[in-house]
Amino acid sequence: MRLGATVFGRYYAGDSVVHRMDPRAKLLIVLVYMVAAVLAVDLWGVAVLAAFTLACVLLSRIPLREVFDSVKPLLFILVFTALLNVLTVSEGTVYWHWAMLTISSGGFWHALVFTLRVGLMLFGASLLTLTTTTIDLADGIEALLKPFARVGLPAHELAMMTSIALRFLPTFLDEGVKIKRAQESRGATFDEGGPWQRLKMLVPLLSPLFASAFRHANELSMAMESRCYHGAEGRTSLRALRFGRADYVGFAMAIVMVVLLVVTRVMLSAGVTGHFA
Amino acid sequence: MSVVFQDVSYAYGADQPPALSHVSLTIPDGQFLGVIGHTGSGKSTLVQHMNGLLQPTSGRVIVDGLDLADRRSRHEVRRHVGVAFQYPEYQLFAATVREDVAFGPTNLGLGAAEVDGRVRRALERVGLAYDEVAERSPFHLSGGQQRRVALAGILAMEPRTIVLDEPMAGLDPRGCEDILGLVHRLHEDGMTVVMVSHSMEDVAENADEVLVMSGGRVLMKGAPDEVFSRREELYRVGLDVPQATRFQSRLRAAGLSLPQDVHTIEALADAIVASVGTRTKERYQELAARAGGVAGDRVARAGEDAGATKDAGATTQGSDGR
Repeated sequence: MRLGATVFGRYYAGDSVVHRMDPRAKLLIVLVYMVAAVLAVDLWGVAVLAAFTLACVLLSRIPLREVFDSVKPLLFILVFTALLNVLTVSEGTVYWHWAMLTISSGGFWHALVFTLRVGLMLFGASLLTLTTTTIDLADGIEALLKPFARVGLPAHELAMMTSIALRFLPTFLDEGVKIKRAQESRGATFDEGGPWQRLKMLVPLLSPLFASAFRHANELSMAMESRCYHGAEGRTSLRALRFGRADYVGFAMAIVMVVLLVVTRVMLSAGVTGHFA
Repeated sequence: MSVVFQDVSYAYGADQPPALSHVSLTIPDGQFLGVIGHTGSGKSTLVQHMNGLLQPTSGRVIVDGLDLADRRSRHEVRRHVGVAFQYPEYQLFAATVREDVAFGPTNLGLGAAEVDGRVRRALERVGLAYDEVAERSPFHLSGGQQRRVALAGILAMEPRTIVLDEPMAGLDPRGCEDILGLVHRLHEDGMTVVMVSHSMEDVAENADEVLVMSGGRVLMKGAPDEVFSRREELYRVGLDVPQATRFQSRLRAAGLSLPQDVHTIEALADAIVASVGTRTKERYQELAARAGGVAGDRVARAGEDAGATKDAGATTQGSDGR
């Protein structure tokens, strides 16, 4: 009973340039991309980000629909942020006003830009996990964090935790569905009744899920220990990470993206198309 | 309370292969249906249709005249059809056994007194002493006890049909026996039982009818004797016949005459007794003829007795003794 077909954080097997890139490069580019998405506050910036994202998706040879599907479960975040923007921002023509809530033309504008930015962020993050196996991801994170190990940062452990978390995400979704069905079989309803009723129904859902998380953790740690896992010390990697041509191209693309963002930003603040800001 | 599947198909996603395809079957009131099939044959998916947890992509499921396509029917049916998933103890959540078992009846909106009565009855039914376990945390019980508490949680809904997906999985032999005994009693009390199992023996010994699933389809449905006599077909879909049946064919190959096909240990024992019994009788008669006179008469009489005795051990010993 696999329901993991559309799960955020899933790996989509492939052999594209993006799949073969060094995980460190991908992580760094995603980091730059995230920062850029936070700083891109206008429609031009969003357009630059979108173009970059589209280029990456095309290069990864993952069907666009697949990427959309992977983000779909998080759609509610987008809807929520959009609503928040529409209702709280008060700029331009005000159409409706009640207590702290305002619906205005500026609100819609902000909602549009903000939702697109958050959406693109999710897209970028999803593309990273779609094209990178959890092992690669963990290796990449560990390699990038290694310089901080000297000041006491447990780089290897953090990387291991991240990869385990990603690995078990689909498992927990599956188990959550199973527990929900089991409680429904005992007459529970999760989509009826008032807020208090619904809140109360979280206990029969979450408490078995926590129990199962601890069970998995216990079993996993035993399995790891019985294979002599002992953390980072003296541990070497099967594959040495090495930057290749694809990685440099990726960095170049990211730099172009950042430059374009800065240029559009500067042009805007210089007042070329001032009313967009 | 009959469960009827009418040409039911189900797929987990539009681009997924169907987990069930064109399943039609009827489970009459009071039947014990054993469901067997290879992993991934659609057993669990089938089971989840029985109280509307899953709705068919096409076709209809009708329980006691109620079509489960209707939302209200589904709620109604969940009172009457209890479904126990694999490892049902993983659904335990409350701080005490009493609260956990009371979850179902409370959801039905019953009064406190009725809920309490049901909790007591359900725990008693699964063989747990209310006074001993009611106030304990379910998480501190043994695995077998946890499983029984979980089943009590379903029985407290007082369903007329119980559907069990591998109820013995992961238990020790003693725990298996307890659960199987419980299921057997429930059926004797008049409940309709649907049990998914990997154990051909358990199915052969308990089920009135056996349903064989393969690739999301119904491969066979019939009495255990009928199903388990189609050995080759079962082999082909990764299943087997009960051990007793396999043992019987070994004995036959060794030259023992066992005319009737058997599928349970008891039936096999009876068949062996019958076969060995007649043999000894013939042997006694042979001896009697050879001995002749008074001694021969006595041997022949002993042979009559031995042949009539049910205990196979005694008769074989008797023949060896001479």
